[in-house]
Amino acid sequence: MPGPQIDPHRDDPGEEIDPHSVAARPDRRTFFKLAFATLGATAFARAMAPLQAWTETLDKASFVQQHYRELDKQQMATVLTRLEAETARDYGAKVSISDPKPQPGVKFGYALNLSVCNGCRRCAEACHEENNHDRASHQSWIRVFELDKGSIDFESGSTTYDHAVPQPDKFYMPVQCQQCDNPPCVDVCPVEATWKQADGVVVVDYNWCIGCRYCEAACPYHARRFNWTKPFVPAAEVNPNQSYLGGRIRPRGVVDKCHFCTHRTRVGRLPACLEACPTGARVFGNLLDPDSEIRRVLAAKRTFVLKEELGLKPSFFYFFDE
Amino acid sequence: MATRAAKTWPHGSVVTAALLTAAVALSTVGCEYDRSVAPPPPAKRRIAQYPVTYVRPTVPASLPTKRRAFDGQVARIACSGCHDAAGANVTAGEVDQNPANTSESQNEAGADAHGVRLKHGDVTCLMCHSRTDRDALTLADGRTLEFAAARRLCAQCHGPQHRDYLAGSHGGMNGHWDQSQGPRTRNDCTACHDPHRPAWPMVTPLPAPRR
Repeated sequence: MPGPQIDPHRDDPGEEIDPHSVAARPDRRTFFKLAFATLGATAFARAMAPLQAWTETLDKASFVQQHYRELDKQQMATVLTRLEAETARDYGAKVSISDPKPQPGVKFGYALNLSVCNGCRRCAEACHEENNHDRASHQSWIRVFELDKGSIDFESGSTTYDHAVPQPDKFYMPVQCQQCDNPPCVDVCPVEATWKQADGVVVVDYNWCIGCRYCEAACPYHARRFNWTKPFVPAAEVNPNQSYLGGRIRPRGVVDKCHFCTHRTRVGRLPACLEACPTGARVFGNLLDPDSEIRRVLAAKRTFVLKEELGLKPSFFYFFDE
Repeated sequence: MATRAAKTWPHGSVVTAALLTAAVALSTVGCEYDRSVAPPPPAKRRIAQYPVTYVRPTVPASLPTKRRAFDGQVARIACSGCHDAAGANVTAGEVDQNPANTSESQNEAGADAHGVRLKHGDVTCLMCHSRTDRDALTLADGRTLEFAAARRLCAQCHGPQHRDYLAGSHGGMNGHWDQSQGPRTRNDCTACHDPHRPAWPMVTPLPAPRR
């Protein structure tokens, strides 16, 4: 006679199993649900990993720090001390971050002699070392163009030449931030992290910048660059003479640019690129001082600015000797 | 009976006055972020207080000999060590000479005899070196000039460059743009240009950015 029907989904005839549970139905659909749920959870955890790294180094003080222009002297001193400690922690170098203010009666101008520049890139290298740029990408705020004599056609020029210079049919034009009087980068910044100060320098508050790169897109001279990674600088090569709005080691994800070496020029020194130039092609000074070298160049030489038709009024001039 | 003007008329003037007052108040107080940069006042003429140092030759010219001094350094001999005013007493072989002595002109022969590679346009030796005093230079009118003042000699022919040098746009500088805050160093002509081959040599540029 037939025995009792044995249900294959039951481990033990006496045990009740919910027929809708996973254990009751180990079929293909269930397997795939489990597998892709695990995969999704793993992917989500990996995507969130940078947040964990960020929160390890994030502290309350830097999160609530106000805009540079809203800090009083005491708050600024606290910020500078905190940044110096962070640099010592991250880079192993003892640095001194200052905050030099624009001097009254000073407006900086810079001129470059295209008859003399030989494209040696010593200026770009000096900027790289003076302003603590990332070593891995060998960055600098100055790019030197090699252009054909006869016109200024950047599209046919090169910034990556590596042959002996100067070539007889080329001329060389270093380009850096022009510190425009009508800067488009300042106009487009959504958070006012960049602005023009009284001595003509357009500065960036790296702790306020959100890294949207609108300014990088707006600049017609491509003078701004973005920090895709946290800059790597060996401790022995860190320049300890830094400034808050200038040459301190930038955090990851902010835009930076040439600031005419404010840590030097606002105490009367020449910028690093000028001192490094072996041919003496660069001239720097105070446009408001009628006896300065830059004023004499502008008065006597065949001088022009780049992209004049845009009406940005740069403070960087190029000239020829004859 | 003339109808009175619409009852909103006094109401409108109050609103207009309030708006005008607000506009005037805002324009005088200004908004928090005032983006306009007031034009800076004209600079006072700064009086230079710090000196300018010139990197110029301080000793007369000399040539390396084949001998060594007591400290192991190559012994150098001043021009008057071999030459007197008459040009005699030349001791051949005292200084290192150009090995390929294939000179075609007396100018080149003179240069080769001293190990000097001369490439300075049409300039000959005695245009710059004094015939009477071998430890001095000479100007075009025959006056002698000490080596430390060589810039005057260069300026004789290279007036535009000298003019630019005095104006501060030739030859570069190190130190301070503001001479009331610190000193400055300028290069003399021969600090950058070899007087016998003054043209700037070709160089290898430093590496480009990697990106």
